[in-house]
Amino acid sequence: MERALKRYEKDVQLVLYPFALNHRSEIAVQVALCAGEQGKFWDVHQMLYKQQARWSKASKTLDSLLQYSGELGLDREALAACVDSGKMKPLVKADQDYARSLQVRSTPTLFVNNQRIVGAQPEAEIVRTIRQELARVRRTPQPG
Amino acid sequence: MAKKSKRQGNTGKRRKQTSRGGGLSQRWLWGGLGLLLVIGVAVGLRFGLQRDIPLRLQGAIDQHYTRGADRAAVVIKEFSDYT
Amino acid sequence: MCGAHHNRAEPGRSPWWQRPGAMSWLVVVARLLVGGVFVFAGMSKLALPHAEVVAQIEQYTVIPRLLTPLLATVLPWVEVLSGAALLIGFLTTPAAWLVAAQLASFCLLMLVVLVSGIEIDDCGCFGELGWKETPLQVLLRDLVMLGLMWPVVTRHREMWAVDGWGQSPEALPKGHEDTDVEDLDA
Repeated sequence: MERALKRYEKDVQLVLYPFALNHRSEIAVQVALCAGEQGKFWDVHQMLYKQQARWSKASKTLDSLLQYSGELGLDREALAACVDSGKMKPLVKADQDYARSLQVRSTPTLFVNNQRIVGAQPEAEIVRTIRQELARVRRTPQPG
Repeated sequence: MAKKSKRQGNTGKRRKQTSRGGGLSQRWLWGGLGLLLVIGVAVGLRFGLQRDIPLRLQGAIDQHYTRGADRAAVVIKEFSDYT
Repeated sequence: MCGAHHNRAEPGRSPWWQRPGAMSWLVVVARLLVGGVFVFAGMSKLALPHAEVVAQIEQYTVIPRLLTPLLATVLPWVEVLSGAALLIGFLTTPAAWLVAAQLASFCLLMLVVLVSGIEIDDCGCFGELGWKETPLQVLLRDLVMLGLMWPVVTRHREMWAVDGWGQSPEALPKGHEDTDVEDLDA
């Protein structure tokens, strides 16, 4: 995905919708969103995937995530306070509702414009779909 | 005797077929209608539920983290779970 | 006429399953139950986006990836139509055989999954509803349904069935309740 984005960086925008499928994941999403308040959303986003095998099996998910976030230079206390306040819960729920309204049943699911790609697909498949959509958009007369 | 019983047997068969003739077409009519009804419901379900998805895909970008070009020709919405 | 009638035990003295008409009711129950499940399963897959159904089938890594889009397109319709035909009792015999073949395939697939140790979170049997069944649960359920199909396939009846409409009583052989009526099919 990274390479596909770099290749088409002028023509493609990626919008991320964390879709939490279970309680652990909900905590992780809240940590990521709270890290965004400290300007480190993408760092935590990458950390969550890199350390997935460890924090997802930890007995105390939040403590484990706070520890890893601290290593990225985040203020752990502020992060913990943000998560405990629950201020990100409405955003988490809104994304869950939005995903369900689009009949997203499993992750990852990508929508390349209106083209749905379900599951971890090879990069070639994603690039092919991006190129198809680019060709289609360029063929379609734009309003104005 | 054999001829007579054969004739009787044939008459019996024809009687069966006669009484079944109208029944057969009735069966095909109702059976066909029943299946058509089910097909109609299935088609409605198949295309009706997903009719609004392209509309729902437009917008809803605010308050979400993005990468790449603004106002890009291709927008990739990624739904992923961290676990 | 010898052998044309069997299970003619006297009512009141014989076990319920040997009384005249008992098998007919079993066939009706089996048709309604299995047909209903198949219509339900097919409809719930049709309610899902095609790509989601493809992804669910792709979990079964024993199925060649090239076939999954075709299966995802065809299978829900086959389930719905064969289930509906069985439910209403129209073309019951071919519908029953088709349903039995599907059930046998599903059982075989689940056996392969269990033996191979392939991890399947959700069988995807009831698409949109998201009822999560493990391969073992699916195997047991499908074996039961396959068992229920046996009387339908071997002793097809017109009771509560479109196949029986328009049949005048004279057209049916005497004591038809407990005889094989394959020859009554058009």
